[in-house]
Amino acid sequence: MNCAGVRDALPAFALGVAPAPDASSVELHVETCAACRKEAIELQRAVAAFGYALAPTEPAAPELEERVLAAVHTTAGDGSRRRSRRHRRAGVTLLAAAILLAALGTGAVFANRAERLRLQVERTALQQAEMLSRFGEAVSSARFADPGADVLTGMLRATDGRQGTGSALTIVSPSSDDQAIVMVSDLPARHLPLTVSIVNARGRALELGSIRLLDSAGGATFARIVPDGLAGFIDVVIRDARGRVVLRGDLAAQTAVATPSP
Amino acid sequence: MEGLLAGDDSAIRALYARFGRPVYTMGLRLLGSREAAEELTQDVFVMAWRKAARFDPHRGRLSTWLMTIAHNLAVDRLRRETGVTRPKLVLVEEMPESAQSVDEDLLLERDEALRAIASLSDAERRLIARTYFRGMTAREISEDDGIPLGTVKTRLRAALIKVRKANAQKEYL
Repeated sequence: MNCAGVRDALPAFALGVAPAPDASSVELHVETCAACRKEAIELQRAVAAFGYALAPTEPAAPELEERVLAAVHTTAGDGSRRRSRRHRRAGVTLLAAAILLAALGTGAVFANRAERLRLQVERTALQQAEMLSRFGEAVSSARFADPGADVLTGMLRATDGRQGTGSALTIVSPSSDDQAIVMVSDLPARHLPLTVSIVNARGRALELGSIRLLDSAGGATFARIVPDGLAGFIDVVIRDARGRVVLRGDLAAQTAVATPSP
Repeated sequence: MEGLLAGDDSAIRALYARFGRPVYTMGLRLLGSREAAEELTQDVFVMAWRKAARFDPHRGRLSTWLMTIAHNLAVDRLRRETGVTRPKLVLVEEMPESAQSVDEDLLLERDEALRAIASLSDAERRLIARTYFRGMTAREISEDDGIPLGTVKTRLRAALIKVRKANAQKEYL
């Protein structure tokens, strides 16, 4: 299916009513086509609004939560998925990252443009740093975490008086794929696409990928699984479309940052 | 695997605390019974866990991802069932309000979503309702209404773009 065909099928795809062959073609196509992927994301976000527009019903039975847990456990215990354990584990941690960010009460940072615009850039940067620090602690201490993993966090600062802030976190694990999460904000769209890379002490740079979309406050969350490993890579560099460094910062081990409990 | 299993509880509970209610609500509204809504809720979280490795925060918000899973599963079930067991078509504005107090975040989400949907014309709202709430395909609508398939697709896309633009400030986590 080419771009025109995908664009034709996208509304039905987003609404969950595309015929199965169309849905498969769309899924395949958007993996590699950034423009169609952007449109798919936009349409899916529109569709998500319908779910939230539904009038609240009476609450679910309290025991439903336990049944959900039991159902997931039963599924997770299915041996047929053991073959992809390593990859799943990394994915699960990224999913957990998003969950934890929500659970940590950071919704306001992402949720509402009006609210975001009221926040000063510095405050946003501090929030990001604090959030990633708390997230790092949560990742380290969560029961699903790899006990041998190192969590590194750090702030990204604009270079040469340029606009923008950011934070970054890496999880370096001896037993599963390493992961990197980068959050940026207050970046102008003219910088797109942004290239995210990370450099080790010997100057070797590892390109992690690119940020192609910024939200209305110039923000984006970037996450990557890095099978090749991130051990020793501590210098996060974000470059603009012309290759100029716009944000940069060093990461430090999460455990080195003692944060007293509230 | 047991380590992963043992450790997953906190993540599942956090996910359920944040999204259990809207998923259950969607199940109840689309499928019409408490039993079906509970089954859907279980299926959604199981599916989320199965697809966890494919979740990419860079490509979409967690809420969009999870609500998409929920809606797709609900529509699959709707389409498997006969017309007899399908619930009546319910438009958003016809849905009864609940006297129950609900999570403030959820109310804010709903308020913003309703405002976005208010940007649609009545015809667009009905069109969306037939796909989103009843699982009708564009082809089925085209045949029912006697209008070209391309026209239905164009109208669906225009309606979704309208909602997205009206909701542009909303960045679901």
